[in-house]
Amino acid sequence: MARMKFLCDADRCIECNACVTACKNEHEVPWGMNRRRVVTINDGKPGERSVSMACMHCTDAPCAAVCPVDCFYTTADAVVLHSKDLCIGCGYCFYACPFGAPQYPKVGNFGSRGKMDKCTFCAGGPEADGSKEEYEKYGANRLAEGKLPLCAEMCSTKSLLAGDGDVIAQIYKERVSRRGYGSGAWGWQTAYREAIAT
Amino acid sequence: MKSEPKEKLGRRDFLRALGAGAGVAVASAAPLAAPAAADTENNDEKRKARYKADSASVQTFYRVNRFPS
Repeated sequence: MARMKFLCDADRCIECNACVTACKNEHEVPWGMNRRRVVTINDGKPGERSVSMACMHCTDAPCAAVCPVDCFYTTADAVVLHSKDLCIGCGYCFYACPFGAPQYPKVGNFGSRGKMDKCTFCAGGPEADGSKEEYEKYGANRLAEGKLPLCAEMCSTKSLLAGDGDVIAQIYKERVSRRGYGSGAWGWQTAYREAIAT
Repeated sequence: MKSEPKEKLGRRDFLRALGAGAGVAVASAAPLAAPAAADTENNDEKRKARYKADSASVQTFYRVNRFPS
């Protein structure tokens, strides 16, 4: 079974924010919320890097672990989705998420933020595929239409990859071997020991 | 002296009529108070695989992302 993943090739990202705009437009995400954002480090300095970030659809999602109403679920495609009908807007998932993925329509205290909203990997939610209710609550269901997330499809430099984790990892591996160097991200050797070359 | 015409709705009947009207309004609005349909898909349906690896769009995405840098 395919496992859906995002992978941002930081060597290619030019911080154009087309992914952010495409996502907002495709799903009609309201003002004040972004399901995806571009993070830049060392801005304007040598070694500047930009990475496009959204929900990473974790295998063992911390948002799901802390949700008091158990509104999260993982699909067979390994996409982490949630039910806005069950969400009480407590904000626990926002504190638990290491990527800042959960967003709320309003600023406020417990229970006054409104229903949580986050990246759905363009896979809709627990409403009928392509229905009006699904679009209003969760946005477009491109996966059911045989498409991939629009943020990745819109990426002009092909920096943002989305799809089957095995396939996009292979694509990235081919790029790295052709360039002769990896992402340079720290922590890889810690996670994978000597089995991986950065 | 000419007496004023008696009003059709007496002063003491006003609140009673108002209450009856409110009852009719609630009864007519009752269908709107039916339980809202939430999460129309069941557990298996909402978790099913939707990714279509063989679709033209997906295959094109993988192909163009393999272009040499």
